[in-house]
Amino acid sequence: MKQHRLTIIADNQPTMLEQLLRVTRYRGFKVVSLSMQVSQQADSASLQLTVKSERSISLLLNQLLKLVDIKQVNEDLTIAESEPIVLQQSEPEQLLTEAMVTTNNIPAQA
Amino acid sequence: MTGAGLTLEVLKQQGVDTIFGYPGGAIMPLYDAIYDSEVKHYLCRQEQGAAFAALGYAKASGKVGVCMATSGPGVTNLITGLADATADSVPVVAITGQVATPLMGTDAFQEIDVLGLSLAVTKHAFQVTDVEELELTLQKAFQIAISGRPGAVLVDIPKDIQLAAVKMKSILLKPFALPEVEPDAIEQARKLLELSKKPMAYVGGGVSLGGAVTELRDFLKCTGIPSVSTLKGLGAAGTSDDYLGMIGMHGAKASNLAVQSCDLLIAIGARFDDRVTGKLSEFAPDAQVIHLDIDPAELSKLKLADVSVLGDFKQTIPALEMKLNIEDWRQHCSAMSQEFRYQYVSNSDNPLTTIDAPSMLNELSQKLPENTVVTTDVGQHQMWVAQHMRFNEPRNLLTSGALGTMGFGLPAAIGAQLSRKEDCVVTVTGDGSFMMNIQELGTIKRFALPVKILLMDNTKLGMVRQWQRLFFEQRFSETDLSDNPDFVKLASAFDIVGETISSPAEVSAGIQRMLNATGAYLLHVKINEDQSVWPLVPPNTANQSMLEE
Repeated sequence: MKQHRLTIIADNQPTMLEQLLRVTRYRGFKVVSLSMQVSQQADSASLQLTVKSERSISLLLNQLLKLVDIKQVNEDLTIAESEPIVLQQSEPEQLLTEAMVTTNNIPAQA
Repeated sequence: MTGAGLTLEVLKQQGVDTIFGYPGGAIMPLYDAIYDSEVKHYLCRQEQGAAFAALGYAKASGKVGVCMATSGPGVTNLITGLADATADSVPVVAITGQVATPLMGTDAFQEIDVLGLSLAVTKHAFQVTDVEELELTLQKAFQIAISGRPGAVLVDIPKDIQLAAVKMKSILLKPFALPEVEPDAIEQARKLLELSKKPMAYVGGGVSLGGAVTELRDFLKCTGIPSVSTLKGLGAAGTSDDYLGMIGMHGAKASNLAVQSCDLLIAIGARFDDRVTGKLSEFAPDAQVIHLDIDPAELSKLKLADVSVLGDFKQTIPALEMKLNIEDWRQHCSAMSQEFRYQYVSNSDNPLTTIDAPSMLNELSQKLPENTVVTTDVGQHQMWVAQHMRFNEPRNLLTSGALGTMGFGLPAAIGAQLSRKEDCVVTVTGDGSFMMNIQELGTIKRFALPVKILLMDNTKLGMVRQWQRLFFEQRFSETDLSDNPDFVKLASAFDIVGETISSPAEVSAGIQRMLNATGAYLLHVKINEDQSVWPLVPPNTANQSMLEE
């Protein structure tokens, strides 16, 4: 079972967090950790979500990108479950690996 | 103007002239605005009926279906219809009333958490808590419902927002941008096509939803590639000789065998559903796969595609046109199609005492006026319709495919009849399904709709019973309906003319009387309780291993 750390940019709508967690559960992924920061204007939110599953992460990425409130999903890191996750939230950009998957070029509404 | 008045203005701007719904406390301001609006409201007799009527309207016409309900039980009754619409990618907008904003979250009378309920079964759901947001939200709802892969969208409007004063801003949204077609994907797909000796097109409901029936037929004609269809794709490929029929659990033998032996499978607007693929790991085992879709999440979701072509079918399908040299394969498919063709025994010549359902539907299919819309419910009759009736256009067959909702047929026929008033509408149903939304006979009566109902009555939940016979040692748990009501008498209570037939000799004349009737008509057909749907691929079995009669 692999763990995947995702960075998500979303519209801060009342439906957003619920949709994010619902789709994660329904598509067969377990939440390992979640943190969220709302922008100063409170209109957008940035989330760091770590999930684990036997399933391919692309299944979840594609379904999250279909959600109206979700604007961008990046997979920052994939780790085998046995490896410890090093959380460095103060400098998240340093954790981005070269293998970063940028999926925001896929239309969200499709 | 009020929020309610604004809602109707947005509907008019969106070209909506027909709404299906049911009033109640929290949506009264909106119904008050409907009272003298030019938008025509059709009262159904239960909110699920309204949702399915909106679905039928949308599927038959290609427009957005609109339904309305009040808060609480109104919404819970809508949910099945919205789930059906989303599962089958049908554009439907549901507008629901909600208790006034100060009462929200207090367990008020007829209050329910609408967003919590609906988010899982819609493409999106909105709750409007500021009247200044109402216009933009409604516009967005319509855009989301129709854009990309269509689906249901719900807009929940609290009562005080419906009553609040607001000015129309006449908002125009930027048109939805379709995904750019990647030239590389087209190039790779064309290479696979060129190399293929045994290509097969696997056509799904997405082709019709994408308005690309003509493009598909041109592609099939130009390349000569044989095709098979899913339940929702029926009618898209037309009636060419290279079309082999439906695939999957109850698919035609030639279709299933041809797909299992093809070397290239071109999936177009289809999603490798388990009812289509049988055992997925053994589905089209020798084939490379080109998958065309508008929804990126469907590409390689279940079966890894060698080439994924994301985009609008109107662009992607023509980009794959080319001349192919596959004559041997075409002849092989055509010979199989001939060899395994269903042998109908006309009921007029049938020496048996019971009516043969497939032959009856085949006769009905041949007798239907052009452009007839057929709706079905779910079960054996639905599969017999898919197997034994021919459709020239996908919009002429309305059926609940993905969700498989019994009770779909009658209200969907109401919606279809109201969207295509000049066309004949026939609903083929079973005695189990018919009772699920029987209250909609009241809607047929109220609006004097000339819907024809062919009710196939085996006094059983036939499909479940068939599985009990095959896979559960004939333990017929709760599938007996031999105490059904007198259906003709029931129809008569709604001023619907009806008759019962039970012998093969009565079939032709019965069908003719039904089609000749100027108003609604019930043809109640008693069929053999032991007749099964064949062939049948048992669950999680490769499609070539079908059970036959």
